[in-house]
Amino acid sequence: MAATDRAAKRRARRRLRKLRDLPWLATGIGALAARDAAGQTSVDSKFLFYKESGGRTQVLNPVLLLQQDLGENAGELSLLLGYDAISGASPTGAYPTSDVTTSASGHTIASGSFPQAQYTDARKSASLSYGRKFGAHLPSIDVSYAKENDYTARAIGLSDSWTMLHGLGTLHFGAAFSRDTVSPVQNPETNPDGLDLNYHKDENGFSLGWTQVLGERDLLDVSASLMQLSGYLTDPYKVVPIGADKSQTVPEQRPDTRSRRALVVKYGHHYLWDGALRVIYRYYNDSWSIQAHTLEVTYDQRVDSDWIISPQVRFYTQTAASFYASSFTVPQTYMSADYRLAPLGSILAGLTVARVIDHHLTLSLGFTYQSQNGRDRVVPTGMLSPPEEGLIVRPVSAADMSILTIIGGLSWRP
Amino acid sequence: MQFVDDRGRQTASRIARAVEIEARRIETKFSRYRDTSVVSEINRNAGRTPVAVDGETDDLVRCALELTDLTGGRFDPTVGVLRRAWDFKAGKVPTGDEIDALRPLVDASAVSRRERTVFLRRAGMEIDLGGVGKEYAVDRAARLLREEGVRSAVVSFSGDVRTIGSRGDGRPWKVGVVDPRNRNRCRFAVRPLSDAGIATSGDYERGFVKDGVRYHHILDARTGWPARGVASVTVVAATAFRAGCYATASFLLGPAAGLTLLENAEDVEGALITDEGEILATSGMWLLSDLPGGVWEGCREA
Repeated sequence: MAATDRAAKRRARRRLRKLRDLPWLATGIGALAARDAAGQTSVDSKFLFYKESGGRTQVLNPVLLLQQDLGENAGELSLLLGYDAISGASPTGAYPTSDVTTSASGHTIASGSFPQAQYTDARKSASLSYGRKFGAHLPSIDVSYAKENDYTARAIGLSDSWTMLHGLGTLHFGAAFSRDTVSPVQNPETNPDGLDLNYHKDENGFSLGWTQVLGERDLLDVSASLMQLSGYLTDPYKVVPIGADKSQTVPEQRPDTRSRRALVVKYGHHYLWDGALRVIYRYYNDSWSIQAHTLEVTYDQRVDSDWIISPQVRFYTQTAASFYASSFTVPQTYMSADYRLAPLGSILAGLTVARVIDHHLTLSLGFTYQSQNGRDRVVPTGMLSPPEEGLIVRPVSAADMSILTIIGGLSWRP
Repeated sequence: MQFVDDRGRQTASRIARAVEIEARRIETKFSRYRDTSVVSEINRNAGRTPVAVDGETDDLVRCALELTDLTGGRFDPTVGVLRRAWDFKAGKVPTGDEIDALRPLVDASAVSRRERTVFLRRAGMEIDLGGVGKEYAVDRAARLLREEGVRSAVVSFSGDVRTIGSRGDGRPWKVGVVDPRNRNRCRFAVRPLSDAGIATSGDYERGFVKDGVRYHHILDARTGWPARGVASVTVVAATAFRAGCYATASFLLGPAAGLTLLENAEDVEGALITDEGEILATSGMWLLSDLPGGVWEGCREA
């Protein structure tokens, strides 16, 4: 049974988008300069190893980006291919218990921690884009397709960058439409007859932003985005504990619409000693009452003309969805105990080292370590009630975990 | 694993680490997924040559063969070859011909145990000790804890449990039995009175539903098809190994014969949950569980 972790997929999608921002990442500034690479191919490949603590989700994700300049003002074509091997376990939403249980397998990991479900999945994705310069505009179109065991995603996007003010300012805007199909088969609890079910999810997204060159060495970008989701937004593999003793569970149910809004401010500064500072702040809120703040600071330092060292730190915090609770005394229309909708915060620290070899090839290796903590903490039920004398019972949260990522990259520029 | 120990955090960590190392050793040694395991070596040499094994492996093979006799051939450590016909991940049901083609390779009598060697007489045969290895690992872990002087513990690996003593305050350990049709709930709990092993055999670990019929991975070796009638059976015995053998045996025998086997076996108690959800328990379970009629009935929170 494939109980896939949607957040892992979203992260994968964000990583794909980040890869397109490569010029910004590599030089720290000046993403607007046109490339003089007529008729030539650029290759970027990245390999991501992602691992959550406690035997949870682990992802191996190789990605390949090929960009072909079609020469003579004919534009540029790019192809992005990705493969995710996802495995591990994910909390089901059931209440933690310190009871020991006997079962036919290690499927439920209990004893003071959260029951989890094991899964493995493989995701293949491909995205094709075409962009071409028309005067001050740089419109582009992209189509993408991704397939997993129980999930298919199709999307199309259109965007434009309009350079104004003699190159000092750029208006960028875009729209993306996607239609995903979820087919949760093989789940005996919610689909006991093994019927082939297909649920759909539509996502329509719009973004608008302005990039302003503030001086010789400063860049500011402000953008806003809106995403409307409708359709099947529930996780078919998650449950919610109900009742006074919290041992009863029912499948979770989320609303069938979601409106997501974000405001992002990016600032970049280039220092005379070949260093660059990038600061990104993001404010997010949605119609599920979740509000989140992200602050990310990265510093790139070029050393000896061949090496680039980039330390990074990121802070994140979010509030809970209006229908989230670790358990419900009485069932409600919308309920979820998914820790990803819970109030939580995280701190990430990372370091990437890149080496430029003969102007064409760049190799990079990066590590990040993230510590995430949930603010909605609960005491496991079971064994220790009534608690024994002098025993300290620590409340736990399913959001508590640490995440390690290792990213290796190889880029080739003509 | 949980244990009560008053010698401090350092000792507890050291003991926990030793148990973990031992569990991994057993997993690596008997896993059919690892090329370097003893089991893989025996399988590679099927039909060719006997493989020399140590006392531990020899014992496990012997127990697996005894279990085959106990279940009239329904349990068979060589049933693994049928994996080639079934695909539980993709939900593929094999044809009768595919099963028949592999049946000659499922034959415990073709497993030759002689002078500390194990030989699979027909090429293509495979032996799998996973069915008895897990419980063995739990018992070894419990033995380690006993040797370290721990008087009160409960060890659980992949659903097989071994208890030592009782909880710190004298109350018996409480081990919930997972509902085969809803992994987030327990149907009842076992309350072992002294050191005991508790094992469960069930149809819900791996499987799929096709055309309304549930196909699970515990195959009756005589037919090649999933055993029917029982959703899960939980057995309490002196060791997890003994409990595991009887759990698998009674699962494969079906509700009536399975319950009879448990009733007649000495120092073994258990309860079956049938496909319809009914719980059938041996007479000794009234002392050892919170099933209706038992001493612990109604003591959910105790």
